[in-house]
Amino acid sequence: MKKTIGDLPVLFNEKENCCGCSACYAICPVEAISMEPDEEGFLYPAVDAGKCIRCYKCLAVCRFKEEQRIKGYYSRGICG
Amino acid sequence: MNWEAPKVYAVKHKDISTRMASRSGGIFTALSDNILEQGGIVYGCVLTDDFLAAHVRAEKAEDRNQMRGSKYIQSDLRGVFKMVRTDLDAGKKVLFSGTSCQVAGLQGFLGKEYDHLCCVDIVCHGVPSSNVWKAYIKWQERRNHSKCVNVDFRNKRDHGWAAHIETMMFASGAKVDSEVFKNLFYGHHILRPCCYQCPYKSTMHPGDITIADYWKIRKAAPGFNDNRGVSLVLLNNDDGNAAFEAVKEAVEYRACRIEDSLQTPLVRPFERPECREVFWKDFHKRSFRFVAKKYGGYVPENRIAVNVKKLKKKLKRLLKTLT
Ligand SMILES: Cc1cc2nc3c(=O)[nH]c(=O)nc-3n(C[C@H](O)[C@H](O)[C@H](O)COP(=O)(O)OP(=O)(O)OC[C@H]3O[C@@H](n4cnc5c(N)ncnc54)[C@H](O)[C@@H]3O)c2cc1C
Ligand code: SF4
Ligand code: SF4
Repeated sequence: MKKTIGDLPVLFNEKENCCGCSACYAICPVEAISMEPDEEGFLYPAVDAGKCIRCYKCLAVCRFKEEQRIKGYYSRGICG
Repeated sequence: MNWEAPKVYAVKHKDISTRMASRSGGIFTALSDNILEQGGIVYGCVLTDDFLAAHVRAEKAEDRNQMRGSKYIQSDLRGVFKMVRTDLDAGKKVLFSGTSCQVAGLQGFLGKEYDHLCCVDIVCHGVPSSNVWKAYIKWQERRNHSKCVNVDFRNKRDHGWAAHIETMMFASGAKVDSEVFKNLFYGHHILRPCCYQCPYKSTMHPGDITIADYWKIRKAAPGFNDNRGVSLVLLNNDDGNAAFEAVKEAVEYRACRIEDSLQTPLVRPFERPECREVFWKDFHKRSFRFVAKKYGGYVPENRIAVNVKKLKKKLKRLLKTLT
């Protein structure tokens, strides 16, 4: 029987919503997240689908998106 | 729990050499000295051997001293949060310093409050791209035909606290002052995209203590400024207050009003420039010289020489007509 497995966590939809603090990278219990530079040289988390166990701790730990939501920045049509 | 409004102080470290080695008034050194004296650990941002910014752990004052001075690029935090947790769980006192979003990130990661953790966040304009910084250094090395051996993002010793001039030292012994990177920074094209929507742009911050350059010092505490650096210190809660009380002996201070102390990053984030994409296209497709001219206020030397020649000719003519 095929094992069902949840969706891969989406840590940000737009770059505006990630400050690169590395909290998600640090909290991942299986080291499935790496911090990778984009073409501007800023680090963003990347989730390794093979390693990720879908515990979603990385989503829960992110203070930045939460505080943007409170400030009304997150919903400014920038992000879903 | 943070207070509803911070307590505000203007602060200068009593030791002038400490103040000259610090970006503003040296409050970071006073606070971190107190932690080190108790066998505690200090975390903060240093410049690596390849001139990039990264957070490190310090047990000794000499290592902590590398954290002094602002590095105007985003600091790499990889590996640091876990080290902080290990130190805290071992019962060590810890001071963590960084941008507001880095402090909030650490607090989120820890998930609980520790009595022996002191968080200090810096008032933050936004963080520039390290790729642009690297390209800038390479360009300066080419122009000066020598390897860069040291940089100061904002040279206070030679130019004073308020000036913003970066200085590069080269293996050849040459020392070059420039404002090109400063201009790129303040043009805002090179900030991390999230900084245009930074949720920490108010007088409320995640740290126990928030520190900044006291740009409004003349209004807030007349007579206190000597252009060698004054720190704006916001105490955000009881813990921050206690940490400041413990170092009052080491500093000169004045109590101030928050209304007299505001600068843009305490009110709102800077706007994303409309032509941000154009900048990055230019950066990736054109030479750095082109970028420096278009966005960094760079005027090639030969142009200056030509202008001086023209001016001399004009003056000569003028003198002739007068005599
Ligand atoms: C990217 C950046 C933007 C800034 N924007 C503003 C601003 O808009 N307005 C303002 O008043 N001041 C700004 N500052 C400077 C801040 O005010 C000073 O750090 C503060 O005045 C400290 O004073 P001090 O004399 O105690 O500093 P110092 O002893 O020089 O302490 C420096 C502190 O800054 C930290 N630090 C240095 N570089 C970085 C970095 N890249 N990332 C994270 N932490 C770093 C170190 O860990 C240390 O704790 C900025 C600094 C940086 C790095
Ligand atoms: S915790 Fe959030 S803001 Fe921090 S790096 Fe991860 S996704 Fe980005
Ligand atoms: S401006 Fe805000 S989001 Fe950007 S680095 Fe500074 S604290 Fe973080």
